[in-house]
Amino acid sequence: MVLTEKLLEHIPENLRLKENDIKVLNDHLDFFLSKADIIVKDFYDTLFSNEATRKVFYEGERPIREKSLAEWVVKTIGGKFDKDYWAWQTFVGILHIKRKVTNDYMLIMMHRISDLVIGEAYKDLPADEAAALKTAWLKLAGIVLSLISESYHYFYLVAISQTTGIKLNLLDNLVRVEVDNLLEANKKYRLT
Amino acid sequence: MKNLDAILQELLMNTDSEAVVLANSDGLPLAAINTKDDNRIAALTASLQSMTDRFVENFNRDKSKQIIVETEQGYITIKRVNDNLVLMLLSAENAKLGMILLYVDDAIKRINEVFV
Repeated sequence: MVLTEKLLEHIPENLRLKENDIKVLNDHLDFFLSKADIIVKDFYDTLFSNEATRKVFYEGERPIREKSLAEWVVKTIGGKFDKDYWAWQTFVGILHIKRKVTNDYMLIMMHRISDLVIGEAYKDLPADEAAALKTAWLKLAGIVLSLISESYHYFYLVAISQTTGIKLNLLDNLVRVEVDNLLEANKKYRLT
Repeated sequence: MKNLDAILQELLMNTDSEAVVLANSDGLPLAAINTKDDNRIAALTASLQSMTDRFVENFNRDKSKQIIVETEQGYITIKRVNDNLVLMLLSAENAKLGMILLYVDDAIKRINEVFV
């Protein structure tokens, strides 16, 4: 996916996953496997405890989604973080459009997972190991969030563009003619 | 673009029209007369042209030749100048559609000559 490559280029060098980060993640596959149940349960308990996020799921879907999340964790942590892996994360953005998983839901839940992962790491691992895992995980989470959120935004516009025939440049221009009005309407939030 | 302004001014006078805009396919105005917000009208004109083209594609038709909107206050005519340009003319209530189309075609011919 060309978009994936473009988005990966946007990530500042020091925030990219380096070889040592990948090694740290790969080396902790067993740690993640041992925590998968905790992470998955907490993730869906949190989503189902809130009416807005619960609405994303259809009746009886939770076990299927729990399995998917567990698979995502295993495939991610044990993975190579190659082009295919990042393209997969970009594709998730399209799935999220389909399922109406808006970026606010996605961002807040990724932060929840990060909180759990880091908390469990410091509970179970030596401090320096936990710190290395925290760094690697937060880099990974940041990249995944970037890809999914921007892919959601991009493909949302692509869908509008393809349905209406309005080119992306023109859509961008339509936004630009309105954005000043939006700024004006919300100027009370503007910093001086 | 003095030539463009002159062509559009003449079009307004000949057709009892109130406003005119010439936009590119990205919705940016190349010339405009009497439009309150050139950028907005140019972007909307190009969007309507694009949407109409996509609409007619669904019926296996070629690109639309023109869009005519009839309002209580007169006609709004949108017509493709070439692959990159589109013209919008806002006419007064008493303007005659036949005259509008005649002069719009003439203006389009002259605009295309400017870009030769």
